[in-house]
Parts: sequence; C-alpha cells; structure tokens
Amino acid sequence: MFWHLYLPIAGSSINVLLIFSLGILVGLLSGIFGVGGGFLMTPLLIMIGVPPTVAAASDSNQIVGASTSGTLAHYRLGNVDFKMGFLLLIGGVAGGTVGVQIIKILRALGNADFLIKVTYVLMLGFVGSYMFLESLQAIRKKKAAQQPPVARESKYAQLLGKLPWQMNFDTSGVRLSVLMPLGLGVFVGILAAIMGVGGGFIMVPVMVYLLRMPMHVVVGTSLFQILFTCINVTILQAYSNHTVDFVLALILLLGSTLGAQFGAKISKKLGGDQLKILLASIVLLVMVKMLLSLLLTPEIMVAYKGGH
Amino acid sequence: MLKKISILLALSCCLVLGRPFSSAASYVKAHLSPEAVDIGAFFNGAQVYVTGDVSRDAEVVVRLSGMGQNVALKKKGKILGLLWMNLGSVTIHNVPNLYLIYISKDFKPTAGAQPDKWEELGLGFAALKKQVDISSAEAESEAVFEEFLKLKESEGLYAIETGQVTYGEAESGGKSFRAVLQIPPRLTPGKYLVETFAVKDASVAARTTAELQVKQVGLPAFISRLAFKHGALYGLLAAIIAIAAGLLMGVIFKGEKGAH
Repeated sequence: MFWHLYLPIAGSSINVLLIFSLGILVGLLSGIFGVGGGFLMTPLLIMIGVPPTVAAASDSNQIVGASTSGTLAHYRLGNVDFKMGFLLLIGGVAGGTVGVQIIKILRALGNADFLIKVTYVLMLGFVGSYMFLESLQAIRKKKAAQQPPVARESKYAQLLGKLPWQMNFDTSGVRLSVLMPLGLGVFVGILAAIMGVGGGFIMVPVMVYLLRMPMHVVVGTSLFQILFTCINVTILQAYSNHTVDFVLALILLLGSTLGAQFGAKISKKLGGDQLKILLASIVLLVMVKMLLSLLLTPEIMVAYKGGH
Repeated sequence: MLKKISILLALSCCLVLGRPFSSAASYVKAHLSPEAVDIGAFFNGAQVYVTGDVSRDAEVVVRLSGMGQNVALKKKGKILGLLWMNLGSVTIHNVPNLYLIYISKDFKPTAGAQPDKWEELGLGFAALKKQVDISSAEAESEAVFEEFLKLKESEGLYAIETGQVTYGEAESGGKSFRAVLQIPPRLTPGKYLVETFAVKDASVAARTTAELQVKQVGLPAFISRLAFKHGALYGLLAAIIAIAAGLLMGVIFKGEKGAH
C-alpha cells in the first residue's frame, strides 16, 4: 500500500520502486551512450500499464532531467562540443518541422503506422549491424598489432574537404563545413519526427561516422542536444494533449538523474569501441523486438487509438 | 395489427411484472458503504461493501458500472500475408469504462451455466453487447466486441468476480448478504452505478440501485486541475523542475568528486 502512488494524468496507481528502478536503468544508458532512452522507456512504461500517449510524453519530461544531469557531468569531463551541438540543434528543429508535415501526409494516405515501423526496423537494423561490425573489427585490429592507424583519404573525406565554409570544432578536434552538422541535423530531425522519438540513437552514429567526432565528445554533445529537443516536446505535449504526468516523470527523474551520473563515469572508463559495440547490441535487440511485433500474431486484435 | 402488438406487449408486461408477485414477493434491500471513494496520492484501489437482505430463495448479483462513453479502437490486420499492422479503426459507442459483476462462490445463472444464460438474465457481458453500438459491419462487430472485452479484461476493468458475495443465516422471510466490491486502482473520477439484483429462477426478480462517487482529492486533484486548465504553465513548470532536479543531482555528485 505504502509503495503505491496514484498517477493523476495516467489515471492509475503504480509501484514507486518499480518506476524508480526503471528510471535508474534508463538514466544509466543515457549517461553511457548519450541516447535519451525514449526508445526503451516508452515501451516499458506501456508494458506496466501506462497509456501510450502518457508514457511517451512523461518520458520526454523525464529525459529533460536526465539529460541536464548527463550534460553537466559530461561538461565537467570536457566532453560537450557546444558549437557542434547548436548547429545540429538548428538543423534538428528545421528537420522536425518538415518531419511533422511528412507524417501528416502519410497519415492522410493511410498507411503511416506501417511505414513508421518498417523505417524503424530498417534504420535500427542497418545502424546496429554497421556499428557492431565496425567496432568489432577495430577491437580485433588493435589486438592483432599495435600498429599506428594509417591515415588514408577516403572519397568521403575528400568530399568533406571540398565543401564551403570550413570551420574548426576544437572540442571534437575536427575541421568541417558548417553545412555538414546543419544538413545532418535536418536529416535526423526528419527521421526522429517520423519515428516519434528523440533521435539520440540515430544522432550518435551520425556524429561518429559522418561527422567523425570522437565517441566521448559524441555522448556529451548528443545529450546537450536532446535536452533542448525534450524541453520543447514536454511543453508542447502538456499544452496541446495534456499527456504529461508529472508524478510519473518525477519518480523516473529521481532514478534517471542518479543513473546518468554513474553512466557518465562508466562511459569514461569504457573504451570507445566497447561503447559502440554495447550500443549496437541494444539497438539490434530493439530492432528484433520490433520485427517480432510485426511478425507475431497479436494476442488482442484491437488497441486504444492514440498511441504511436 | 397494432392492436395485436399492444395486446402482446401488455401481456408480456403482465408476465414480467407478475413474477415478483407470484414468488411471494422477492425483494432485495441493499446499503452501500462507503458511498464515495476518494483518490488521494497513495490510492491503490479500494473496497466498497454492499450489505442488506434478500428473499430466502433468491441469489444476489451486484454490478458496478461506469458512465457510457465512446471508445475509438485500432484494428489489427495482416498485410502481404506476413506483417501485422493497424488496419483501420472502429468506434464503440455508449460503452462503460468499468463493468464489474460480483457473485457468490457457487452462483450459476441457471443449472447449465452457459454463457448465453447471462443474456437471458440481462446481466453480464452478453447484456452489455446489446447495449453498445459498434461503428462497423454487422458481421465484424461481434469479433470486435470480443477483442474489446479481452482488452478491458486484461486491464482489470471488466470482470466477473466470483466468491465476493456471501450470505448470512436464513431467517423467516429472507437472508442477509454481504458483497465485497474490489475497486481496481486504474480508476477515473466520476459517477458509478451500483446495482444489486435478486435473481430467482433464471430471471431478475428485484433490483435496487445506488450511486458511487469517485473523485480526486489532495495532490492528484491539484495536478489534474493544473494540467487541464493551465496546460502551458504546467508544461513549463514540469520542464523547469526537471532541469532543476538534474542540476541538483549534478551538484551533489560534484561535491562527492571534489573530495578525491
């Protein structure tokens, strides 16, 4: 009795300890990998009986807290590239706006849900497999011979060098055209809006492979950017849909801010390649779960409207 | 033609009304306690009791139901013979958000206890199906309603709870009874209807109703009011408190780190 709290917006009571541990788990992931954890938390909340819309909205409220705590921890470790973060953010906001319009058109055409799920499975499968194989190779190479990496100019790198408005990003230690973070921000923003997530798990691979930032800076910068995305979502959801359950968010938050602090420390201890492999495994796991939900016969053939 | 129908109607009315009189006045008297349920911060379901007495040869069935509402559902279907997805939507009109039936351990609507006997009684899920209106083809609505029941049952909002009604000593005219109504934690505020039926010979012989008020108090009431009346302010506060909590946590951890 004592450990139960009533959630006024979700309209149900929940076990405080259960929610608190969920918060710690997701905060830990968020601190380690720089992802918001929305792609894990929202399904878990739905599983314990929180309505889907309330789960998604309250989760973004929680991520605001977790990413504040995570950004601060990574900032102290010197892992946040603010310049890059702002450029990605500007691109992300523009992309998000475009993405919302695309979703509207897809909904009108009728098969939006299906497209969203298939995009999810393809994206997660591709990103997860690529990261996994790449980091595995890197670890093997290191073990085989301690030879210094050969600096080779790939076609991609040559293309990057030719773009206008080159700029130094000191924290990341890269020199890039301003167009790169802006353009990729738009790309991730569109995908994130279509898939209905914060986009951390797409943003991280984009920063690692396309912007060529070092993994530790990627994590901090990603958290910094997620913070702003989720503040925006929380206020919009609370205003237009009344789906933010503050009691739920607060309990999750206590857990996740705690988890994020530990996560940042673990992140620093693990090597970049190990981090990548771990994240790739989680991404692949979510992909398999998603794929199964497409393939297996559902237990109940109807669901409440309004989830995502 | 019209005359015939009216005669028939009158006859059937006599039959229905006649029953209680013929069975030496079946009756049921019930008292609900408490008459209101408050949802506070630590609410985790509640118990409500219906006590009273009923004619000796009748059984008691208690029904707790919520106000009728319209529910929009997504239907799942298969495409390409392989992939499951949401195909179209359907709305069920005038369906209660809560529908719980409480019966005694060995209550059977009739000897056979087939589900359709509930229909004869006008109770149970069969009766509910008649009352709702489903916005889809006739052939399909049956299946949709079945799936809807499964959904509601999985949430614990629709159920037939056996063993919740117990009887006391039989006296000359009737016997006392007591029903324990388990109210689920997933409860929305509003008015709920508590009906107590005396069932005899596979039909309802007497019925009495009471109203159960459910309302939010304290912290839940305050948060709901803020969220629904001042959405923007609520969202802003939620974001600011989240940032503050994140910063606070960061500061606490920094203190710890500074020590090393």
